[in-house]
Amino acid sequence: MSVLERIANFLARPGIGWALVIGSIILIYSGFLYYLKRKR
Amino acid sequence: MKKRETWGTHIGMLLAMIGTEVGLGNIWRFPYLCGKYGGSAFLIPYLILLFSVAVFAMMCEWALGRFTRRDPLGAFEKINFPQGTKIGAWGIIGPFFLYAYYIVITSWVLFYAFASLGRLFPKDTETFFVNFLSSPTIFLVHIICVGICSTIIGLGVRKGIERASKFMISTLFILLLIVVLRAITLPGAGKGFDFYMHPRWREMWSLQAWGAALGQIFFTLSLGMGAMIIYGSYLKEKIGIPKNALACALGNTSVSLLAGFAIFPAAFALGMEEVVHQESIGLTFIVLPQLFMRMPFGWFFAFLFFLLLLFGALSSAISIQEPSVAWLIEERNWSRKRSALFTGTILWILGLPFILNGWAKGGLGEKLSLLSKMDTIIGQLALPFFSLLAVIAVGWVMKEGFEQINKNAYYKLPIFFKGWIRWGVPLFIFFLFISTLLKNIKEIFNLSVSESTLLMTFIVCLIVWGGFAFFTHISLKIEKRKV
Repeated sequence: MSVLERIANFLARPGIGWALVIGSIILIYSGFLYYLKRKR
Repeated sequence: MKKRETWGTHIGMLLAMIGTEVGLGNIWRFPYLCGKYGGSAFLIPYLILLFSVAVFAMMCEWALGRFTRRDPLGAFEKINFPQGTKIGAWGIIGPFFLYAYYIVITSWVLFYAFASLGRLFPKDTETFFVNFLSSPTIFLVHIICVGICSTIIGLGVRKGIERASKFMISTLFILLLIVVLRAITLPGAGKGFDFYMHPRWREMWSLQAWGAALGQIFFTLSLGMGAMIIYGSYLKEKIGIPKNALACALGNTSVSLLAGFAIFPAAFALGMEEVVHQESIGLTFIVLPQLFMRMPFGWFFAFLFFLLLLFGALSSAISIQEPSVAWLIEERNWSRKRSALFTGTILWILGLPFILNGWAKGGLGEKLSLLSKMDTIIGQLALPFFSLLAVIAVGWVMKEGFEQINKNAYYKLPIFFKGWIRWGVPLFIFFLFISTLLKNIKEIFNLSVSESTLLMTFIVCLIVWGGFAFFTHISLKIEKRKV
């Protein structure tokens, strides 16, 4: 099994998929808010 | 501070706005809904909700943009919206996530346009699509699409976005007309025409039909993604918002309507009636290639079809990338080219997990699992919520919000609509948000209860918990005063 397939199968797991989607949204959004707070 | 750009010409502005609205949903969902909910009778709930709810939400987003002359973040801050920075920041970050998967679908369309030209479609179009999702070609078409969007944005509002929208949307209309002409002149096309346009009044009266109409209108008008606020901020002062918003909404509906004239007559003429039960990805990338292959010179019409779909998708993608670019220009003083390159790179990276997902074992469900999850959160839930806040901003927070909509307008909205914008429109959007939320909760947790039971549960919880929070707050406030 290639590296790409391993990554893809990992991403396709239901729990991982939801965690990745919601986690990335929270992480990027709060990171952006933190950046705005520090810059102003 | 640099002078802010505005749209160069009126027609350019209209086509750019229509370009934002016209996208994949017009082609792959509207005809399906018409077929499902009563043929041409479906146009009644569709047009009623379009003119009574969605157009007002669109006017509010335009007015918010034009009044503040800022990106979505700056707009919410400028009007002193409560927690304006946090809410406005979503207007920059939300479209990022939307773009990340939308451009992946756009890149499939680009590949299908090339595949049509090269007559590459085999008989088993499903296997063809599944194999494509795990082929290196997808990386190439993805980077081409991100590159096209970033280049157009980098050229500027007038020289880039406006000029590209003018070309893409006018070509889209011409190509769609050619495909429609071919479809309706096929022998036996009348049956499909009849299925699409013959009114079936009974089906129209279901609550599902009205809910589906509201959802379709809302998402096809690109509301709640920051695009309308930023495009509204490029409007000239002399432009009347009500009349132009109506023109754009009807321009968008024209494309949706024409898409049905292209799909249904061809489907019935070529003996593929199962098309009427298909929507979204299955219809576009699996069923339609089969349909075109049965047609004389089908490869040529498939190419035209995917090309027009590509133009619609690219013009929408550009508008989704623009809020972040505008923010970098206005807040960080970056040049437009540098901002476009930077956001393009970040968006390209964000799209990679959706592409990698295509290598997963199994069928389409597994290969598109990340994309459908992100679409649930962003495309279905976050968009109506953000649009609701934009309507509240204009109706309640912005100084003379209603007057801003009517500013310099030849056809002004009567004063009655001031109350409608404050109460009616937010209520409808809230209903859409809640019904979408409940539908998704039911699907995600695989609940075996009806949606009406879920709705009642929500109302009961809202009354009890909301009442508890309200009265606790009041009693604490009174106790504090006594002390």
